[in-house]
Amino acid sequence: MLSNDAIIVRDLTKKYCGNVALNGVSFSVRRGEVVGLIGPNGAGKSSILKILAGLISGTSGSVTVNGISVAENVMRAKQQISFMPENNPLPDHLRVGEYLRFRAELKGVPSRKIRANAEKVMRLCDLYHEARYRMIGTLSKGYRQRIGIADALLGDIGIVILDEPTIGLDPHQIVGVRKTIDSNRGTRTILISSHILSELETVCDSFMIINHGNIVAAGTMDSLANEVRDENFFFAKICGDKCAVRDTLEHNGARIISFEWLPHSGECAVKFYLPRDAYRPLLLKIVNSENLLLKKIGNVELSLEEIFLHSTRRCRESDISCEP
Amino acid sequence: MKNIWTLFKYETYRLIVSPSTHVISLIFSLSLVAIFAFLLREYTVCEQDVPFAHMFFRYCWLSMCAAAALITMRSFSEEYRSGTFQSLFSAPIAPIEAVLSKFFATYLLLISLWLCTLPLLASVGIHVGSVFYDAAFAAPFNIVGGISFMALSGLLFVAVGIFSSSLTENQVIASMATFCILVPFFINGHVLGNGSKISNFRLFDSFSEAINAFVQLDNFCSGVIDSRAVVFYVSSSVAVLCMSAVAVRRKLN
Repeated sequence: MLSNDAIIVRDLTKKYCGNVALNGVSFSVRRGEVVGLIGPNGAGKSSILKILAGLISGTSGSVTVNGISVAENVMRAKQQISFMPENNPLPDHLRVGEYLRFRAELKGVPSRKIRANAEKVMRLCDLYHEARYRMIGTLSKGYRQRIGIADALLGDIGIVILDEPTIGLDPHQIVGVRKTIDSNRGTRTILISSHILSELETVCDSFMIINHGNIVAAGTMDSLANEVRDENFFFAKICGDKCAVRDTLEHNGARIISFEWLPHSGECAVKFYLPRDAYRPLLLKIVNSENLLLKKIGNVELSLEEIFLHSTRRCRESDISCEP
Repeated sequence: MKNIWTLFKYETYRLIVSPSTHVISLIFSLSLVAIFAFLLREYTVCEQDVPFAHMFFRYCWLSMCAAAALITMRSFSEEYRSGTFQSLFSAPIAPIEAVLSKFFATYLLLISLWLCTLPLLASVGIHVGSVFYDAAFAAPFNIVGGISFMALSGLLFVAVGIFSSSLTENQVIASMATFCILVPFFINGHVLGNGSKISNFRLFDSFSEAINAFVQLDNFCSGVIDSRAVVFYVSSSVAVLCMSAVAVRRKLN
């Protein structure tokens, strides 16, 4: 009987010529879940995805997809996973329809269903009418990305991994990709790596933030927000000189996340992180200041981008070294 | 191994639509025609001891090496360079399946090019041979033997080309490496048309003779099928293809 987890990763380490790309990473992804993998460049996202897809092997640790160990049975594991690599390189000499039929054949789609399956994914990704007979080499980046997504959706493969799927797409196409992912929610497990955090925020059920080869935060948007909310994130509107506001906050232990000057009201809208014991002194300092007028202060709901920035910064500054 | 047929069709199509394949095929065919024309002139000027077809295959060794090197250079190098290598292997494909499909597709192309020479040789046998020389001028067993040897040695030559291509993403380096590996099969211990030895070591001489392509070609063109040659070319091709699969697997990591 299959467990509820489609992907289980335990103590995964990957070293390239002695450089640690993944440092004992552990996580699991539930069946039917849409998970976003976020991290700065070089954090180890692509390494995780390639190991999951069976393209490369880990140095140590275990990776299981649908109960099959990737290290022990890579061919069977590959049959469980559909992977769209970053930049999605494609053969230029084939037509879109030909390419998708070729891929369907490789993925083990029964021969009598290949044509129908290829047409279905072409319709899903808006390729059927415009690009079906066109040579891949003549297509724009947006089309090529959609071909990659269509390829990943071929067959009845339960786990889909998309590495930067929306790069190069225009807003209409991004909405289309979002709809496609939504239509597969619950039926397929989807793992998406992207730098476009606002995009992930709208499509993913949960997130993993990776930095320097470590998972630094993981969970749903609410749980991540709760985790960082405990650490006192504030939003304040303060009237006064921009430099004075900034200096006062920073000299009293605040770490500014965003700073916006509102010229029409002469206010500064600031989001900042503040240690628990620094709240009262800062408040007194602002209230007692002749140059500053505190208009509003309160806890803030953070966006995924802000959670990401905080988590990756926290990792860098924590006592436990995250450096590989 | 169920994907070999699918990949073979894909590779064959890729070769057929590639402009470089057409250019290489044209150059190869022109070189064979040039050799053919040159030999025909020689044979019509003065009488020769060696049958025409036999001599024709002897002179084709350089074209054979060059064609094997140039046709195979794109097989994996191009995939590495363009990045399609990664997309290809995201499907459940074993490296040996990719290697074998590329090998069979390229081999099919090379053999097809050789078979194109058949009409030329046959026309010599039918028209020229019957007028100026006896039946041995371009006897069928010379032609069949020569083509058979090219088919047999082609196994190894294509395998070596695939191997070189699996090591690098630079097509020029892959083709040069293939050429450098193949040439010694023809010039090891013997110089073209000359039986002079370059070594005084008996073991080396016997080894070089065993793998010397001219010696094997002479046997085949004379109608003698040397089983040692068959074993050598088939087994070494298998070994080189296995090494290619290992190289591809290492590239993935």
